[in-house]
Amino acid sequence: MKFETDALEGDVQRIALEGRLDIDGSQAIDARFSFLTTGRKANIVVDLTGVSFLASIGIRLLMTAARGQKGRGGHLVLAAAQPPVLKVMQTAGIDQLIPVYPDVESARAAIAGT
Amino acid sequence: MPEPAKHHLLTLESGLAAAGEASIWARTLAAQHGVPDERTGNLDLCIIELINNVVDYAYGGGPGEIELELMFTPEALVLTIADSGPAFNPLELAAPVQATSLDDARIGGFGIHLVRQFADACHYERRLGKNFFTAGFGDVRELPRRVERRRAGPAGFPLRRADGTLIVADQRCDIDRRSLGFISRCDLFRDVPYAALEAIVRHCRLVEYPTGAVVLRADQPMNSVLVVVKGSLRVHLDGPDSEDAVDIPAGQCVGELSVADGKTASAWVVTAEATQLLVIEGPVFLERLLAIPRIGRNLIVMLAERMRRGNERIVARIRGAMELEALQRELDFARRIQASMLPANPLLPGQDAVECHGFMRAARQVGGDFYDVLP
Repeated sequence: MKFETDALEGDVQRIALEGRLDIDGSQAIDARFSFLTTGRKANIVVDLTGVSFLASIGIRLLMTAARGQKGRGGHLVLAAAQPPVLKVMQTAGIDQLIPVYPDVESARAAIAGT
Repeated sequence: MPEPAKHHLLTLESGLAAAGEASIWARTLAAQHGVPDERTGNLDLCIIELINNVVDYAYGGGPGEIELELMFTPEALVLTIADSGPAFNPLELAAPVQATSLDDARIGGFGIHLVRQFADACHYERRLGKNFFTAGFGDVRELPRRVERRRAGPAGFPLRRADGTLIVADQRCDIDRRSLGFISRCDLFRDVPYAALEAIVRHCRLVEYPTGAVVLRADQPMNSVLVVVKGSLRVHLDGPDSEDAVDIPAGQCVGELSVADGKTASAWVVTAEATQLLVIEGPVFLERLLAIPRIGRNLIVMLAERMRRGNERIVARIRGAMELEALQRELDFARRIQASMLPANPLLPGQDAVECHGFMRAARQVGGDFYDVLP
């Protein structure tokens, strides 16, 4: 499990995750991901294109990050989840709590400049 | 003939690595069995969530063993996870309430909810001091009935049907009568009053198996006696495919030894043809059935006969081994005779000018070649 970050137009930060968000994967990125997503106010798109698997511990990671960023007054949204990952998010109901976009561009446009 | 189910077993130490190990194991097996990607994904998710639950709650982060079984049939796959933690039925957990905002959402508690949604069937059972959780994927109606579906105790009425209607009282009658007609003729129930049996059959199930189904596996816990109603069973001591097997015809039963001493099954039992079994649960067998005086005597007669047949097989095997030994002794003797017929050194005594050496070694005990030296 690894991730990369880059800056998108409109002061939006993209965090692209890659790998399996299972127990090992979540633990591997937990500290760095939490720091990046909740350390300061920001508009963040978590790009899930490279995530092939999501378990409940991964859901917890995403929810903690989204809640932390909301507390800072910023935004954290999810984008480009593969169908199996999207199905897990929908089953757990987190698509009702964290905005989910079909691709990175629509996610960026939704939170840019806010 | 339907293809028999393929079983795979794995025992893991509880710990942080367990879920990852189980996931790799399950994905590798699923790939070997050509399971479609979506079903493998569902299995993967359930196995990780279930193991995680066992590690965190059943063992509370401490040491413990987690036993896994994966069974593949062409239509379905079945995962069973067993732990020795305190009794806990995850299926009794209420489904999580959908939170309306991120702030009041519970973070976590999704594991079992996901399992229930991503598995096509779930079952929990507490048995022999362990929690058994079974999750089925695919066409689970076609599952071999080895999956434990029985209830922990007698059914309490009223029962609710799947369509929501109620069953007010026990309405079973035909199947009971049919099986009763048969069981009064089988060895275990010989000369037992019909009325005494009727009360017991009410606590038993009739189960159908296709040809080649594995009914019992060696070293698996066995908590019921199986009476062959129709068809026949084959008992394998070495493995489900071994040639060495004993037939159990209609009227006979298996499992009574395990129920009596509480130990695991000692052999593999496979159906030799389409077979109908009467399943008598351990407690029913021990408390109700053995309380009937005639049953105890019938059981002793059956066990004595089985022991006698076993002894005959042992004697036959020893006799075979002794005959083989005698044959080998004779061959060895023949080898020594043949060797003694070869000329020994010096080959040409008294003729010091000629030096001559010979050596012969038979490929096995006795060979057909011969040599000699003529001056």
